[in-house]
Amino acid sequence: MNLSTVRKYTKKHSVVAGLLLKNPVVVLGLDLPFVIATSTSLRNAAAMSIMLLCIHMFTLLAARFTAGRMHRWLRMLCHIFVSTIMMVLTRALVVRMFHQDILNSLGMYIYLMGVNGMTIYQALAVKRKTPLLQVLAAAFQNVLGFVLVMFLLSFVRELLGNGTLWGVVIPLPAVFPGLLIPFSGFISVGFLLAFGRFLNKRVTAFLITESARTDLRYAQLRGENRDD
Amino acid sequence: MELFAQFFVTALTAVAVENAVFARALGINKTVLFMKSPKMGILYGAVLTWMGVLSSFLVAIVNVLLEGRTGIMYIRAPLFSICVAAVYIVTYLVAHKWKPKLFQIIKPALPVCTFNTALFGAFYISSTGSYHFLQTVGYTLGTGVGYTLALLVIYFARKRLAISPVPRSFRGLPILLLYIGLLSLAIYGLLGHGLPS
Repeated sequence: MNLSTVRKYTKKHSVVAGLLLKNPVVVLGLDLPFVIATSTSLRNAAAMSIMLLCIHMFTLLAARFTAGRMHRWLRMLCHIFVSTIMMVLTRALVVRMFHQDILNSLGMYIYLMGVNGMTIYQALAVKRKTPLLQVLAAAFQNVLGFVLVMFLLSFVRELLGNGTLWGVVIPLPAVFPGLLIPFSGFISVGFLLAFGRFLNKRVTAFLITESARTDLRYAQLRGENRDD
Repeated sequence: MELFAQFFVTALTAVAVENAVFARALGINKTVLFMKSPKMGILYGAVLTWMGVLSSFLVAIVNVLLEGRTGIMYIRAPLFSICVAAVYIVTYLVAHKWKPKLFQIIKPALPVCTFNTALFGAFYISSTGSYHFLQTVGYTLGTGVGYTLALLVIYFARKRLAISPVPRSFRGLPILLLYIGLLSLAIYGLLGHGLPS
């Protein structure tokens, strides 16, 4: 099989795959509570994304320096404290950026960011020998995956559930306020994940078909050259 | 007598009405959604309940000390983390030293269940609701029991869904999330809430 075509499409595919198909939220099931409960408006999505960015990056930075230097259970406690302190600091930043009423919208989930699963368990997975830039790049990719899912869901739920986008009223023939209740968050994430798998199946089938076509063309050309 | 009645009512509220999983989507991740056996669900639930109840004693004291003070939003979160961390350290060391067999059983569940959004969610709810000592303990106990029951329901549902004709794209986590969403809607309706119009 001619692997150059496969390599070319796999390289392009991997960028998409990293964000959607190996997404930490929908594939690894991390931080599902925040996505399900708070993805009811774009402002919420932006606030939670900023919170996670600051908490995740700083905690993984701390994890890189604590890796291999203390026992696993003590490392876990260090990560919890760093993420809690970052949560307190980032909360103040978010209130300054989005106004006090964002706290009513997010409720206790803004405080629960201090113990979010993505940060804590990925901090424990950091090894001492891993280069610092690699740790930060992986952390940023995880946050980007969360941001993508949050904004996708928030866009749909706010538009169809409230008839607004970032507080701006969008005239629609009908709105479905039930989309703003947590049960619809579960259903939305389920459909998003199923759609991601469907896309993956289609892209993989395309890759295989293109490779087989290229092989056939190559074999035909070789056959013609031999005849010559 | 009235205090104990409040304790039981608060606990029952946390189990059924304000279930951590179905009402607030707390404490869920792939580890608990794809447990290998119901014993694992009971283990996770039991560890979470134990750690929660012990931590709630300290959290209730913190709530009393913070009552009426300014700037509590800045110190509440670190103090809750300290309370939970103290209980975690004591449980870890005591189990490691004196109950090694039990420690081997609970070791994988201990960090997942201690630093769990369901547990911290219960603490924040008791803090913002100005619950007294017994109500805080009762609410945390109810959260743990409700969480355990939710995990068992999800486990048995997953077993049934695995033998059902489900489209390929929906198999596994997507159909399970849809199931939990529909169950959450059913409980929402059973409690008398209506969909907003």
